Amino acid sequence: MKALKLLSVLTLLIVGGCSTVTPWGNYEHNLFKYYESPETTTQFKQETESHLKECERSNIKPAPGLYAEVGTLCLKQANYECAIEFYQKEKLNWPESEVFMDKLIRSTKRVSEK
Amino acid sequence: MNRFKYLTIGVAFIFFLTGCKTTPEKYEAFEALNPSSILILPPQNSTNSIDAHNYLASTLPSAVYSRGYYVFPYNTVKTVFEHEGLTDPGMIHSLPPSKVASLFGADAIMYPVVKSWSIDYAVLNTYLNLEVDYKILSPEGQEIWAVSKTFSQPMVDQNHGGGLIGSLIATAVTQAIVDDEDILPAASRLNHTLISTGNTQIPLKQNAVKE
Repeated sequence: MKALKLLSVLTLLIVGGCSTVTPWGNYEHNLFKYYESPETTTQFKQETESHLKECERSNIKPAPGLYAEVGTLCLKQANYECAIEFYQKEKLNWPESEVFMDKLIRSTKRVSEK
Repeated sequence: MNRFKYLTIGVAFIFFLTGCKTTPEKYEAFEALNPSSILILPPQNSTNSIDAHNYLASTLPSAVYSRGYYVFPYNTVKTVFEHEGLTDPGMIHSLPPSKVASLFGADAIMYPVVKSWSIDYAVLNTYLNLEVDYKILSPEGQEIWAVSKTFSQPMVDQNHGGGLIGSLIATAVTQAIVDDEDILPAASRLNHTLISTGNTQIPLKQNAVKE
């Protein structure tokens, strides 16, 4: 009986542990894969985006740079509105990125107006 | 009697642990600059491996961030350089630091170089052997942190292994399939070891904003 209780507590801990959202998510793996096979662009973008949503839902501050990375992948797909939206989110979350993000937003706007 | 024995072992263990602790070097120029953000440049790869630099590039941001600094979006930074016609990390590393810092609004810049890279199949584990050279410069070009190290990193994290039997099983697995799924976590541990432990650790950000 005692063993059963212990087992259920352990199971709960393991299951609970698995669902923990970490600030980086699967970034390292996805970034590496992206360089290895550039056709994974869409996967990299989608996974990072859903990780960011997960962070927002769980009230966890995502790792620095992730919003901007999604922005750049949007830019690559010529989705300028999406790019600007994510660059702005990066700036909002990380004031240290302001100079860089402002430059990216300005140049994205220039490209989109062409 | 038994209790005494445990106490003795406990005290001895504590002595052992404190004995192992290394005192971090004082990086005075780093602390004087007290940067908030660090720009990680694309690593220079002087090995025969086609992706050694990518293993390091993918795992450096989380290591540097763990010391409390904002790290710039690596792929976005790389894309911007490429857009400017700078695809060769060697060319990027030779740009004036002041120019790079002002382009990105970075407080400090990290220059990673991977000098050697090999995978070694030993009896109880598979090892990733690496020689790296990392330095951080201020926007004025002053070296404020540097580490140059040859490393041998077990592919299977022995802290999580199950003793000898665990290692044996792990070896069977790693020797059968050594692909990036194994190398990437090893590269990540290596960067974390270099950057956030021992006497080479990057000083923790002073007044770091709590996460």
